[in-house]
Amino acid sequence: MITTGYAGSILEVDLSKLEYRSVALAEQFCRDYLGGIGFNARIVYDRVPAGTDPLGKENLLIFSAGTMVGSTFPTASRTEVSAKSPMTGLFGTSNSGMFFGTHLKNSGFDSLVVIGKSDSPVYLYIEDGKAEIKDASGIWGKDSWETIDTMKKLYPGCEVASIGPAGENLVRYACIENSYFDAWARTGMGAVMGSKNLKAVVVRGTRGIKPDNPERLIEISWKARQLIESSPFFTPFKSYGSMNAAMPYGNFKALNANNFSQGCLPDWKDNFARSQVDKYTYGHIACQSCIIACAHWVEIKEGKYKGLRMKDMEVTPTVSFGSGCGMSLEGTVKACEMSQRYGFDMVSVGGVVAMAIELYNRGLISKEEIGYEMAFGDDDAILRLMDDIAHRRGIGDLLAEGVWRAASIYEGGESSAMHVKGLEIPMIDPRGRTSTWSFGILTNIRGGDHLRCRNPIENLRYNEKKHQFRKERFGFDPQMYETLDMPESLKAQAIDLENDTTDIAVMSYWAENLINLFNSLGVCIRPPVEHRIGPTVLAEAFAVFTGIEVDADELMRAAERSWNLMKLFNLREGEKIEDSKFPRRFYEEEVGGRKLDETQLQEVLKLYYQARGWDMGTGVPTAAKLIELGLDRDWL
Amino acid sequence: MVSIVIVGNGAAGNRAAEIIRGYDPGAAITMVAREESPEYSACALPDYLSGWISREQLFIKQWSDYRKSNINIISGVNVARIDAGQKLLVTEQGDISYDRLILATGSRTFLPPVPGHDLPGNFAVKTVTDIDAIMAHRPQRAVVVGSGNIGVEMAASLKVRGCQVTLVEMRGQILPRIFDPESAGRIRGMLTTHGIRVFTGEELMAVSGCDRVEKVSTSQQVIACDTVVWAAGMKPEVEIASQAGIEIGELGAIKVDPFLQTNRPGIYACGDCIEAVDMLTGMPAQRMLWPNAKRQGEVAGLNCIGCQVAYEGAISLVTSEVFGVPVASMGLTAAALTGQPVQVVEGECQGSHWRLLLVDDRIMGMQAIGITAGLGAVMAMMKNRVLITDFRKIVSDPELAQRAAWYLPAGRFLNAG
Amino acid sequence: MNKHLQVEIDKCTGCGLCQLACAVNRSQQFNPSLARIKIHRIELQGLNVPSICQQCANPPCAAVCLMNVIKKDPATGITVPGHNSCIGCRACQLACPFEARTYDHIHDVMVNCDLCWGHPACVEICPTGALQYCDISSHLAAVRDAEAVKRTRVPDWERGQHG
Repeated sequence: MITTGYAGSILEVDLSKLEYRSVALAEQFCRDYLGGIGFNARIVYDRVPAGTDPLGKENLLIFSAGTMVGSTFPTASRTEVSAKSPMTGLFGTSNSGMFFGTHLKNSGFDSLVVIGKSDSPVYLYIEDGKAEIKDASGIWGKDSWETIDTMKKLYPGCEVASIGPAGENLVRYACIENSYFDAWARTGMGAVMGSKNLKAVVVRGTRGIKPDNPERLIEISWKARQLIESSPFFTPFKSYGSMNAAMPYGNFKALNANNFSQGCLPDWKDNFARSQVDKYTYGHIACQSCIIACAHWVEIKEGKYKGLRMKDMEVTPTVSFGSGCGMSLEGTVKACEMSQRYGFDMVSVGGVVAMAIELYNRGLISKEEIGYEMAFGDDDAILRLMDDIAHRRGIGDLLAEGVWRAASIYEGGESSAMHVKGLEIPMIDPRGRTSTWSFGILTNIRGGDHLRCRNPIENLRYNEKKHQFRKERFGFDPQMYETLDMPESLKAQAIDLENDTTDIAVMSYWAENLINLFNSLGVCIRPPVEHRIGPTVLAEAFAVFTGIEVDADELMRAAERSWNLMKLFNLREGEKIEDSKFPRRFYEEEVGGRKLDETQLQEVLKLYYQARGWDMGTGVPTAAKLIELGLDRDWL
Repeated sequence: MVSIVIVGNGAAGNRAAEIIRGYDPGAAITMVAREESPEYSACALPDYLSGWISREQLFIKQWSDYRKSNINIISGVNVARIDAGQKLLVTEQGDISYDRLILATGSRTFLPPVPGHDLPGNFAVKTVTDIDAIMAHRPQRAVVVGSGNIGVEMAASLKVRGCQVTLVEMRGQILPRIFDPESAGRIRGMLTTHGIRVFTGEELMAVSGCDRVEKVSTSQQVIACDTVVWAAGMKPEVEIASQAGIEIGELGAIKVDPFLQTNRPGIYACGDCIEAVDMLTGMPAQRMLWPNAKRQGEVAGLNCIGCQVAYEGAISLVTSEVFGVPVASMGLTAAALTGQPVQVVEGECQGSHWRLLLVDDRIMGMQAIGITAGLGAVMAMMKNRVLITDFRKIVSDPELAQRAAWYLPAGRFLNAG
Repeated sequence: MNKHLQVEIDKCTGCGLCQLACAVNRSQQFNPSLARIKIHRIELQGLNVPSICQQCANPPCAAVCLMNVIKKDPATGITVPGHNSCIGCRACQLACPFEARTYDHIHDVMVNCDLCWGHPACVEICPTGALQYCDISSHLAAVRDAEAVKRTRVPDWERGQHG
């Protein structure tokens, strides 16, 4: 049994039988899958049979804290939640920070596995090695914030993961709200939680986590901190957070604007300029152990939404509502608040609303069907529609199914559904900018999502088309190359200093594995961290924290292992090579004078499969790759 | 060189001696003590009985500590009388003259004059020797008379020692002076869960037995036992004071002015033997508690060397652990506030329970079971007489809240913040 | 004693690194509940408030200690929790207006910040400068002292009214 670094146990709760048991972690399992998404990949793969109904009682829902969570390692705060996704029917998974993971580990568990389904609403209370399944009839129907209020009064100092009305009503893209302002949002984990009649998971712990070598861990934390602080991305991120990407991507006409029809709204730069955002932002808020504190505290001090106070101005929701649906800055904050209370994935709900407006404009959805007029930029109508969706009222019932399913009802509606593999595409429009980041949307295990593949040294200043579609501009001095923690041979393949380019296929392979490693260890993927923290320092930290000696290669192999396992899960669930494609619009309609070339993209995909050691023709992991990763028994 | 004599070697007396020494290295300080031991914590006597701490750990000072501070201590001596005119303390071992006298004579266990209270097997709970005697007696079946915090703690400690324990309280509830019936009922439940029998509303009528305690008779029943522990209250020790013409107040304790001086100039008094002003009500009251005694010792000590310090009043602050669960009471109870418009704010979470008593928008008392975090802020609000309306204003405004951050932990008890 | 630990609340992001560093330094484990420094997170107001022993000149915790084990170290002025005879009664917790006493549930004693003997681990790790270990004559120290006096002072009872 593992007693250092890890809490040492997995809590398994069977909601059908209203029982729980604690299972000790085995060292080999920790070596092979590390924690966080790694644990989830293995458990979901082993225990969710092919063809399981994502909203049926056979699906399971896992919360796993990353290995380094609860330590002083900078940004180690993140917890991964996974299940079979009701959006994609594939591997569903989502990652969130704040303090939930720290409390989960302090309560004695690295992971929580929820199986079965309760007959009536319940919530789960976990404290210091014990779990209680409690009646939630009193809070069922309340929004997430009310639920959290109630729980925090009942259990002071606790952390709460909860669902709002969207999750209760099985809105497919419902999120699990992580305390008030954060969420495990993507791929509909909240709907899975709702399908189990599980309203909330409350954790509180005082057990502590014992590092194998406290002094060394503090030293390595310092080293990691200095690395992060030395990144050129550090200062901008510290002061302005993820909103840094908002203006450059607008300039490139590479934003989702009005349902991916424009590249950038004409007044985007005026309405969402830094000076506008700064009017409402105060102070910084950090997740556990974060030295960056990228989140802003937002207070709307004038206008219709005066008095609104929350943690916000994260770029993804801001673009989703502000640009994708054309809402005002204040309306965007309101939409974020509503999403948090109702428990929506803000990317998906923004995508659904944008599609609905487009279908309305195309005359496919009538005013009678909605009950009111819809338009891009009509804050009131958009908020009203979101309310209908959360409660599955009127057309909201259909829109609660997500763009992929809802569009299929309307003849020709599919062309307005902006998704990959059933999941709404966030924020960035690949037509405006060819990059590892946008390419990653195609290869993402989750479907249309931008958070599992990002070039650790992306230069947001440049967007030149002189490079061929396989490359993006590197754009930094050689020192950036030197300081990138990446095996030399792979680095040489990925980055061509002479021509100042980065190879998208090879970099995607590396970036996906690196981010998967971060999601296993619970470290944040914010640019300054992803840039400077690599497997070398992580291996040192992992070893002194857990007492399990690993080297950088082993760590990367573990991350690659769980990525492949998730791919195997997707293939078992019927994912086809042709599913890795963007909406037709991206190939057919121009934005900023550019559209995608399908053949070229296919070529990059093949190169990516090759880099991954997968079959170039089918996109399936080869036997050799699986044997190399020790996954031979999982070969399909 | 001024000569100061302190009668008593408890919390008040020692604190007085320490503070005088701190201010005036040259003063001649003499302490006269009845007991033959250096200062120890009377509060921890039940912990010593239960075995939670050792006998050595009880002692706050060693004899050498007195020498180090150049304090002359005369122990094991009874003071016969005070000759205030001659400024003389008359003891069985000779006379001691003083320039200033501090009376910190403390209190003694109140033993009701019931038949049999002098049979072997009856014990008071006041001194370390009392506990030594109880331990030597090896009690098997004990009746604890009185259910103040000492009574409750003694009952729990005896239980931990494996005794069969019965707690008998004359009033209708346990802990009547520091808990309201609602909270007291919960604590009673904790005691009975752990196997202590509790009888309230029963007066102890007699102790009987051949040559030692065999049973007690209450107003309701007869209880067989081999030990009776008396915790039915304390009486201030005022005999030598009253004989010397020092004024005794209505509550039977030495009357003092705000500077803790008695009606005899140069004679100060502090600790359990005085009638102090209650900090919250401003009325004379007896709050015979360790923290109050220490503060009074400080004030008396300072005033007797010429530093003018007015005593701000005593406040009740009692904490205790009942079978691992912390219980706390601060300020006044509802009974003590009778006649005033008391607003009760109660709360409960995860087995912990609290009860706040508000009068005129201010906290006047609080009782808590199973929770102590955040009570410091409540205590500060109570002492500073903070208006709850102001508090709510502060916690709902981030800017104010930031500037008065120390109050925030109290929010959870007041459904604010 | 010429240095004190100061808190600038508006710089605190609530990351909790101070708590982890404190707990690991003093209890060899990452355990916020054992940290001598606490952070009150008022999430709905975006407020993070660290609370820590203010090393009051006249500490109310020591004044109520039933075992007289809380002492001011004469050389350093640090409020030192004596562990030998602490009975864990928590009277000090009730007396401290700063919520700065921590119940060490491993050893069943009450503890407070003793500035890590002059090298406070929390200050070293604080990424924003919200925690500072600065000279007692600094402006911050003056503000802190004024507040400590205000908070620990006894009320201005109308003297003479009852005396």
